[in-house]
Amino acid sequence: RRSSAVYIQTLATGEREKVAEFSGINGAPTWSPDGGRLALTLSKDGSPDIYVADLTSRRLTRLTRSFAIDTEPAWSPDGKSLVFTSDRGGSPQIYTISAAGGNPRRLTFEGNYNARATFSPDGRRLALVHGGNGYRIAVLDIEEGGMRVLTPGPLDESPSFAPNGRMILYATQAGGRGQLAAVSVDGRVRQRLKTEEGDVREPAWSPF
Amino acid sequence: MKKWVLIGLLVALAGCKNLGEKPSEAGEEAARAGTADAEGATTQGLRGEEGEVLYEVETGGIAEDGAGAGAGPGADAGGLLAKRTIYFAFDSAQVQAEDIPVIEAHAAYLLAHPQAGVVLEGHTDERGSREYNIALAEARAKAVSKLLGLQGVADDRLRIVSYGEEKPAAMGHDEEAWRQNRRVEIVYRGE
Repeated sequence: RRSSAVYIQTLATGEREKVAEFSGINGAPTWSPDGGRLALTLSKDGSPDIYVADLTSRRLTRLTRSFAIDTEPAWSPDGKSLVFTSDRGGSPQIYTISAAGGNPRRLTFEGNYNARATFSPDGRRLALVHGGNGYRIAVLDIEEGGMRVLTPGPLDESPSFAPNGRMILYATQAGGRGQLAAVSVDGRVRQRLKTEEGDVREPAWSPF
Repeated sequence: MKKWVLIGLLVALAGCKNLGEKPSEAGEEAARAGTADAEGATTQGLRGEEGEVLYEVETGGIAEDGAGAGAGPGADAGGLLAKRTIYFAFDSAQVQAEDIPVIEAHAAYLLAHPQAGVVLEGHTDERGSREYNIALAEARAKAVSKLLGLQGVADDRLRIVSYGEEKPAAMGHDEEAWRQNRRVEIVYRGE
């Protein structure tokens, strides 16, 4: 049948629950901080949009309605808002929207490719993928709006903040394969993390 | 105490998924009780904003049982029909003018052969973020699908699958590899 689907798997029991398998894209699932909701991307209503599934009421709410691509939602640490990637302005940029819905507000204005944003633990900054001169990890101060590029690229992706908010883990290409690297938030310290053979992609810190 | 759970995003390949009965029956049952699918996962349906039951929908009308098998033009088709790949510019889902005749040829074939159907597989190069590339690849496949539709091909003859950056045709990390990966593949059912 060749379709994508979103599942929840319980580690302790191995039980799997299918949450969404609509026509089109079912992807980019991400937990709300309190674990009660799932934000995800569905294109079942025409174009990829951000939806929120409440796991208690089983209610699915549509957050974005555009003819553009809206994807890659990420929750703020207080669970009150999300950031997401949208090309509604002509190229992929980061937008923010209240978890209760409403009009999205654009956050990135530098360059013509900004995607895959993720919050710092204190909710004040975003790490994201910034394209232009190769694909590099950048940090955006949400309030001040300034963006600082931290890595050299050319194919850096999937940034993730450490729980202490001081380091960012990300995936990079080196030696012909995907590898892990870490960079400090001020950009001064950068290191590649040694891994076995094979590709490493989409790293994520555990919460503790 | 918070239960430890893990989210997996899975792509189910051809033949693995079959939700069985007509969508409305499967949906109601799933929403009420939670049925198990072929892989043993339970399905708890979601509800829409009015409280209405939403259910999983079959994509396209092309059966997995092989209907339309061998109904494509064949590997030795000549001319425009031999061309099965449409290429795209970076970050674009716009079909280029030079590819219109190819799409018209496939549309004509599909109209002349009612048994045939196609899967339009969308792809991107590796650059940028994974999820955005899944969406971009879908947009590319939809663009080709739309053009086929404008030529008169019915929706249920066309299925769209997005692979994002996950199935490159060329493995390099340079412009030439990227160019070859930004594509939609026209795959006839049964070929």
